[in-house]
Amino acid sequence: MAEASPESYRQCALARLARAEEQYRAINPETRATAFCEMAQVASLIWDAVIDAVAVAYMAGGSTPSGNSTELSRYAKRGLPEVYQYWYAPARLHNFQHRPYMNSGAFDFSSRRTAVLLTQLNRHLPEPLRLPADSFGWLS
Amino acid sequence: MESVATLMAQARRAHEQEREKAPALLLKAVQQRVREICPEEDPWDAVRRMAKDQGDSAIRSTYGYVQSIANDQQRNLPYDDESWETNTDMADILIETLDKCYGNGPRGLQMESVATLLAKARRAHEQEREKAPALLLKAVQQRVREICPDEDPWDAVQRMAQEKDDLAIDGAYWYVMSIENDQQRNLPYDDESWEINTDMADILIEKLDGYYG
Repeated sequence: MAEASPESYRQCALARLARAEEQYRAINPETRATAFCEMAQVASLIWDAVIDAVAVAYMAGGSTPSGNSTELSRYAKRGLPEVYQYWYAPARLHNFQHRPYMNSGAFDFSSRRTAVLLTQLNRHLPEPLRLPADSFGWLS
Repeated sequence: MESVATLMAQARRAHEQEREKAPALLLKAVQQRVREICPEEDPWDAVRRMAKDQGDSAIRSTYGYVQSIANDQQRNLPYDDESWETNTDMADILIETLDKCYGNGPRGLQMESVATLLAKARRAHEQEREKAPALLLKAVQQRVREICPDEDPWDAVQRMAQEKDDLAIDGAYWYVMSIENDQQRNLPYDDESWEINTDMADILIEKLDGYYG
């Protein structure tokens, strides 16, 4: 198994975002309001992608993630306050699967703001490790 | 100017990140609450006078404790976690007592301050968990109402986010509202959600202090 590196986490983030986009586009826009399970899968992929992207910054700063998302959430809180101020968005997507009453409006709000978070995060990443804007532009 | 609630949040953050700065920030928070009531008086003189006026020695002793921990830190005498917990408890008790004795609302109305509501929400999370999200929402609503008393808080934060071009304002409020909504539907929240919830409340209040004073 290849050793984890900032680039490997970046690739994971990109793969998850691509899969999330594919699954999102496969859902009929007219039935999105009722396609809760499918939307929950997309939400989960977006959350995981954010965690991978934060791990890129964490590793680029010389630390090794343990695989615990709380560790990365706290790293963002202390080390990336400009990013953490938008943490509400992916955090809510993370909860989406357990919140069957959450509607597509809440999903759209969270995903739009997750795009803002990723834009901010990109500013903290060295050029070769940034996520291409089109990998998460669809969230807006 | 930073509000008492923001100074308390800064002190809590400092305790996690730059421990040696925390006691001075907590003292600054309680001094600010005292100065809101007695702007012309030295805070220590003011608390001693208020303790006498109100017949409540807790006013003097709680302030004295917060001051003593700050003094220890100035002399490079480190404090332990238990002292810190007592320290924040003393600050909360003092602020809550001052709210009760001197009011917090316009024309001295007997309203709880934002700092007191935040402290109550934190206590509820430990003791009566199901009540905590509503108290936290009440705290941020109160801060918003201090700025826009005649507007619905959710409408107000959306307008302010647009005016200041700052999406953290309505987003942070939305998160606090969402967790309260979960609780109303008996969907329990976990500790991580609660940590994010209090962080978002702190971020929102600090931003409003920065933009609107």
